[in-house]
Amino acid sequence: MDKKTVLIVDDSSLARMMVRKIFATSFKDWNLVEAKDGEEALNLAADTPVHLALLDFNMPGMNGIELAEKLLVKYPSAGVYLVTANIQERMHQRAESMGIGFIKKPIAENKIADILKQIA
Amino acid sequence: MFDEASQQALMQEFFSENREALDRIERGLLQLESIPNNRELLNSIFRDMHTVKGNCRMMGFERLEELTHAAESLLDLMREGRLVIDVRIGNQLLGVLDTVQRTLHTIEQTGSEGEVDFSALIVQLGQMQGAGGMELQEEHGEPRTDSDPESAPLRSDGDGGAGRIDSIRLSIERLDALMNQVGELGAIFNQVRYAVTRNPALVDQSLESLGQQIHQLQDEVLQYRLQPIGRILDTYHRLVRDLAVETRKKVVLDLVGEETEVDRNVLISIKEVLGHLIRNAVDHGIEAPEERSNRGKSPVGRVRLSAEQKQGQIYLEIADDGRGIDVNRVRVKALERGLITADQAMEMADPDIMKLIMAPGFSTAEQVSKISGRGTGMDVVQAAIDKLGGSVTIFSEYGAGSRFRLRIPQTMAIVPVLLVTACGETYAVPQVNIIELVSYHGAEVTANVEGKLQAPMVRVRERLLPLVALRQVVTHPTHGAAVARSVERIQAESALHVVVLQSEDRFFALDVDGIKEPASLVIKPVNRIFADIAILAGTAVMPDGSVSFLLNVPELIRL
Repeated sequence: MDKKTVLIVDDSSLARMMVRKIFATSFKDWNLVEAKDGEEALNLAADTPVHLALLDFNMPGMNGIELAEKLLVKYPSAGVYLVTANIQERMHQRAESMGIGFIKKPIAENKIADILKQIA
Repeated sequence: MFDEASQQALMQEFFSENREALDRIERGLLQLESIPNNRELLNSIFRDMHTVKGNCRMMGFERLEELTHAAESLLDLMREGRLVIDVRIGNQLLGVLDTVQRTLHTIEQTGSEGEVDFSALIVQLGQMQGAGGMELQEEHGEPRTDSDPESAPLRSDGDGGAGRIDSIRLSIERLDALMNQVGELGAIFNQVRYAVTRNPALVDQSLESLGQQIHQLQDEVLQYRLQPIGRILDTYHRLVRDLAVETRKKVVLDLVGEETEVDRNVLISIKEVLGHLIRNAVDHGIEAPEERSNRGKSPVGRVRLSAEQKQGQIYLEIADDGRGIDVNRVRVKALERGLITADQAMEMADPDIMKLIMAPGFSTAEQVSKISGRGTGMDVVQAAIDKLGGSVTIFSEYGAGSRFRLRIPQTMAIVPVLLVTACGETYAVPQVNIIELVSYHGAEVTANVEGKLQAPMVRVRERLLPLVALRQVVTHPTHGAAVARSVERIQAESALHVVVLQSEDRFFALDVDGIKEPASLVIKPVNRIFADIAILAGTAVMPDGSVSFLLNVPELIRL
């Protein structure tokens, strides 16, 4: 069976590494691709079908919501989540109205496990 | 949860990424001293601080997280333009950087933050934020340089006043200006009193000064009533979110022209109207994500709410990229509901049919849904806009989306008008609609009036315009009931006075009995008894105590 793909987008290399380690340790049946900003993410997503996307909000260039919107157009059934600590109410509403989920920072194994259950 | 090697790799990354970010922040802060308002630089400094904070949290260094969070909050105010960096703030932030660097070093050596206490530093950062906020409130509307006294003084500062439209904030400077105007008024009052009691020769002159002064005062106060429309538009994000969740749709709301200024009263009146139209757009317009995908559309629907101001009018547009309106279904429904006859159903053009969805008791939704149903339809929107002296235009393409365009006057309070007479009564025509005034006498009347398909037309500067007789409109004030005077009878008149009017892109000539003078009138809503008469936009009390009506030009054109 083909592995499903999770896309990690965060401008912090430590944050990406953390998620990479979590998947490598606990969720080995996922294929993982990562990008440091929205533009890079969209380039990756052009070639690789995405099933799950974990996006940082504050990034150079487009923010997490703008990126989520573009990803949803390409992969309507993908699970798209913003990984944030706190977010403006207005941004939160905007994301929810598009069906985007939230993961509260800091990211951890149990939080990812919860999401994988949701989208399974 | 990770093995030793992974944990070590993570710590390595933690140090190297933080050092890079801290170095960039330091360079940025130094650059900022010469370009304090550079948005891009502020953004990148903020993002780096945000990364450092996130990294500290991820690795469980809570004290560092707290400290960098406080610094990030301060930077956030700066990038939003609500706080400007000065030497004191700059030094404080550089001090934070040193502390973070030192603590990272300690962590590298010992594996923990150690017994450090940043609370004093955090309190100082907090105070700077507080101070920034305070300064902001007091300084609001007081330009740093005196070169721009017109800069908007009423904007809400975002924390206290956001979304509230029942109060405005006024700078001391503006209040002083108002006080000065009142002082002037007092001085002129003395001149008038002197003229009346001692020197009648000066009466005219002093009364004119008085009039001018009152005008200035009116203008000043009117300015205060204008509020940026963004204050209410912002609240629709919540509405769209709730609707999207409830209907299981995906919707983005785009706002354009949030800075457009609108009279406070208008703002309050349109709040619900816009809410109604947005509700409709999400509920009836935007399709479910699967349906959209099947139609080759993005699964995420778009609702665009835009505002702009042009020539004293506010144009509001609610556009969606949903399923659009099926004009033929509207035609059938209108026929079923008895709104039109079978003949009319055959003859009426699509745009006219589309307007019927605004008619009382009309609803195109197959089922009245919980969200936009509520037993009310688009007629509520039409009624509310009519009351404001505005109009609604509908554009819709079946399958591609709908666009509702609202036009409303920017302010309701004082309107410059031209006074005209018909049947012995005085009527006021808004100056904003007037193109020119033309009078024809004797043979000119015969020469310039002609008929086209039985309808009287008048030639003005080589252009043939429909001629609407005010005396007929006001004696038969129901739509279409006015019996047109024959062209021959008009041609036989000894004089013809017309006011050439424009509304949107249509022109016509209003035939009046007499043209009086221009005036600025305080307009009040039309009395309830006349509220159904669409051609009347408001009433005004005239200098002699009588009441005159303000004509609703877009409605006159429809006749």
